[in-house]
Amino acid sequence: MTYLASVKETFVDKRWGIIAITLGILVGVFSAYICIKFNLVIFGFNIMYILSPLAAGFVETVIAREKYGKSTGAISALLTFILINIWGWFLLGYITNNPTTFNLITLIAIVLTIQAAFPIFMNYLLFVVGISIVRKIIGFLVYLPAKIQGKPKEVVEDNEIIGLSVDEVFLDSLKIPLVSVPNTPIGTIKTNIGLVTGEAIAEEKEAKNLISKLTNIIEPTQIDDIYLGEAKKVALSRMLQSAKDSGANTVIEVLIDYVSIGGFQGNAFIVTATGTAVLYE
Amino acid sequence: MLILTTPTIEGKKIDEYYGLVTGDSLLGANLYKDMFSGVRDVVGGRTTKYEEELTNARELAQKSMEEKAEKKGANAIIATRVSYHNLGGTMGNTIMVTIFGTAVSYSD
Repeated sequence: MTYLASVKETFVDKRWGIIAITLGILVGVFSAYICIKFNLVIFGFNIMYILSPLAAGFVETVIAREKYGKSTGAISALLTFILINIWGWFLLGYITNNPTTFNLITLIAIVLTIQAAFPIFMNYLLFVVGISIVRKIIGFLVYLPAKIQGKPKEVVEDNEIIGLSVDEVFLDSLKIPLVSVPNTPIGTIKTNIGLVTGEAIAEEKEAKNLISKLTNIIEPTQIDDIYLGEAKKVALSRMLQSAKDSGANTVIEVLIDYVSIGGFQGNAFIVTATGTAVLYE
Repeated sequence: MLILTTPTIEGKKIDEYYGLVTGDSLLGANLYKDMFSGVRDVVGGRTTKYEEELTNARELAQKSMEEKAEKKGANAIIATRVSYHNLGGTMGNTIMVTIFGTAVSYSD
């Protein structure tokens, strides 16, 4: 009895979710019916394969957001997708005794339908797997002449230091040096004021021309390719500023930390500086 | 509340140690989405927004740590460490900010 009651309660709780999914499937099937009825075909490929799951998912999401309060995960889009594909690829051929043939257009259609149904999965395949395969091929082609001639790859010495980086200039200009230790014999700490932090984001330099853009794909990232010094300076000066705002004159026990926030479109680093603001004498 | 990264408080006596207190918060940084919307400003490019968000996330973590320390009856947190982690993802990145320290009470 309690089991039945709990089942009933779940249904009452989730009634809008279930209604949203049901309506989504109905809209999906109805749109597929219209597509078949009016024969909406582009390049021999019925647009219902893309349109119907999208319509179902859209209707479901809108209703679920309005009434249920949260997303239901586009279950109806997936169900519509499966139903339409069973119909299109198997049942239609069985009824009319004209099974679907496998050619370039049907292949593209399959990719498009899967893209519509599983966007994250397909984007991963396209952007991560696809791009790394292209990268490997370009790398192979670029180094192929050298490999045939048997020449070793040229090593370019590029380690000379060209002046100080931005953050070093900044650190040298400070009256009281920033330290990463709790105590220095230079002075005595009068009062500890509290935790201060500073954050900045270091971006990758954009490639200047097309050739360096292409070689960027295969070459490993160099240290000069990122505005690291600039970001360090910003993070440290923000930390120092918040220390000065709270009445301190320097910061001790400074820690600098880096976190990569990479994406498909480029790399970026978060640079953070943490320390204790103190009044020094 | 006094929050320090040092193990001692200068000129003050630590009366009691209450133990470890922690605070965490998450920041969903969708780099992917933002790049298409073309948000750019002069100073820090598209990333200034993230810096603000990051500060908010860190403040949130710090606040939750402070609350825990207050509940224990502490009036300071010493030897605090802040760390940032990338939880990854294909469509964007989630940044986790964690902060931890030792809750203590001190007197002059």
